[in-house]
Amino acid sequence: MKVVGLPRFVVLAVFLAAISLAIVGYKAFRKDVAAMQAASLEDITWASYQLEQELGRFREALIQFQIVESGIDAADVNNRFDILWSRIAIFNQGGIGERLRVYDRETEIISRLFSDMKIVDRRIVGLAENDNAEVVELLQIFRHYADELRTFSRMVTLGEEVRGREIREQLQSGVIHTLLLNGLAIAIALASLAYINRESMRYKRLADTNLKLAATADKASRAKSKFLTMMSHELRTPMNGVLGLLALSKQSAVQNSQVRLIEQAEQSGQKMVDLLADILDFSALHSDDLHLDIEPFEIKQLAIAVREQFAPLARREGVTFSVSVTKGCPQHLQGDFRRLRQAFSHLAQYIVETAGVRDAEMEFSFEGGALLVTLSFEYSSDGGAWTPNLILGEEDRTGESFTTDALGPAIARGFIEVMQGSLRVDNPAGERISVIVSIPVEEFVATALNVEVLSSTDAMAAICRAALVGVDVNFVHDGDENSVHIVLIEAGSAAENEFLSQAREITPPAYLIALGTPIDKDAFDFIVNLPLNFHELRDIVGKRAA
Amino acid sequence: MNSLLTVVRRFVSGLFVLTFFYASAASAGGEVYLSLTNVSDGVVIELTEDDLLAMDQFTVHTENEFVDGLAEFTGPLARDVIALLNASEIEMLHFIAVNDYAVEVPMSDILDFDVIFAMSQNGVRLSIRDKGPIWVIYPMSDNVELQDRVYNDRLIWQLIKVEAL
Repeated sequence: MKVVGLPRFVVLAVFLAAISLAIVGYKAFRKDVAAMQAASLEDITWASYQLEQELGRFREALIQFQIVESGIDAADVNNRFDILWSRIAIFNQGGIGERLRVYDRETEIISRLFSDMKIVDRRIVGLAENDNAEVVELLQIFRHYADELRTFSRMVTLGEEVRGREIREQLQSGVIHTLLLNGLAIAIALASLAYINRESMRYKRLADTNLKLAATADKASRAKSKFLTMMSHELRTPMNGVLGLLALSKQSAVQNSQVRLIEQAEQSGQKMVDLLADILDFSALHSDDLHLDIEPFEIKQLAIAVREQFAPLARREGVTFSVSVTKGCPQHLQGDFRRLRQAFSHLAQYIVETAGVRDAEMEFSFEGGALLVTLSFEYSSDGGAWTPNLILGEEDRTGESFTTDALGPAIARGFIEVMQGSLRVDNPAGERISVIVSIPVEEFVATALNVEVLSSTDAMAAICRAALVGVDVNFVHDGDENSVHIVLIEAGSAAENEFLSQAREITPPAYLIALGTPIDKDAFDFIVNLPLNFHELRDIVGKRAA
Repeated sequence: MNSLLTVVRRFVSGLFVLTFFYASAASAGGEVYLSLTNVSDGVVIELTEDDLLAMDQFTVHTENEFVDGLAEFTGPLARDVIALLNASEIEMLHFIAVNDYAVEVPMSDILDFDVIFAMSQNGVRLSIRDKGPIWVIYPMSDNVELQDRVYNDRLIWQLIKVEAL
């Protein structure tokens, strides 16, 4: 069953709707509560009854004023009038007054009473003792207000009861609506959470499945790589045996025609050995099992090694291939000499074999902390529809079709990537194309070593000097104050012990190299057999310098 | 021992009240605006308008149900006035208006809040017709908890008498 997920904006919209509903519900509830609070803050019924009562007290004061020795004088009457006035004044101010005026709009009892009070204000202030006629007139003015205020009070009471009921109903309704809205919001939120939970579980299951698939695929890939590696090893061993026998066959008395056949067989065998080596490298690259051996090397030696490795193919294809090292390039760099040589050889081989190249130049330089190798060549139509895709790795990554000629470029590219380098092609459609490889490497500054030769003859010292030409060493003599790092000792002669004793006095201890087979092999750090192999001596001294 | 302390305290209280009375009568001799009574010891203090105005005046800006918008009220702090009774164990006050309307006010109200005996509103002296001469005002706008009917009922106007219970 295919599970189709809701778009994210729908889920977001649902969430927003739930939040909006909750806010609307909360606001409605707050509004109802505020209305109830305002209604209950002051009881206006009480205010209307107070007015009615104060009117009665004022009228009573007027009546008592008429009676001699009642104890009520004009000041008392005025006082009662002022209190009554203050009660009326409530109607004109604040929230209480606003609510009371609502009930007075129709009958205008309060308005009329206040108008009459204003009219008689001066008469009250000027009320004289024994002026009963004035009192009677005043009583007459206010007489009917007693009944009217009673009516007003009843009207306020009834009105407030109705209002109270309305507020209660409104509150009840508001609570129900709020509950409904909040319930709806909660339901939507819960539904959303359930949906999100389901989606989350689904994604988790997918992730688990993907992890398992990836693990299975990785396991299968590793198994294949392992099998490939093992088979390559297994095939290379008998093939080396075949090559060895072919080489021996050539040395026996065979006819020239047979020699040619043997050489062809040798070439085929060597090609197969090379191919097996490539498969091993490719397998190592794909299983992330490739380890780089970073060591100091001479850039010039690298250029020569690439040229020598490529020379047979160049001869066979009739291609002029030259290598050069730019001036100012450091003598030594640090890197994996073997992988670099293979990478550049594979690139050159691929280009020559596929692009119809007649001449190719490979230039080695050092720029910005990187080894820069530019392989330039002239594109020939004889080479067919050559494209740099395989070099740039834009084809085989689709995975389905992997041609045999893709192995070399793939290995070269793999090595370059492992060494954190980059590769680009300049002017791919032009007449002269440049494949530029840049690999970050560190410059190696060799420390000049002090070498002393202990020999019974000057000839041995001269031979050693000749062997170490180009290596950054200083030759020192016995008695020099410079510290000695390497001592080359003529071994196997009667003077060996004497030379050893002399060398052991050097502090700190120097590296002792025997020239020839020594009497005491354990006394030396390294042995170079005679006749002296210059390359071997240069190599061991160069490594000591590193 | 306790009874002796009570007698001394009452004597000091009486002496204070008599001194205040003498000063009031000498300075003003006007109409009594507010009468303070300590019910427990029977001490009565009558304050004239001048007595009340001579005290530190405090201003409260507040709204209530009986005024339009924010109003400025000025008058002595209720706790300063009650302090004239020099009684430390007052728990409840009985406020009585000119028309005999009365409310019970806990002493904690005037201790916890700046309740004033307002004599002016927006700079105008309160007359009887304007809820004067004394209107008990709570700082309702500054204290949300005071915006309740309980405190609204305690906004007694035309206050003439305070009894300390």
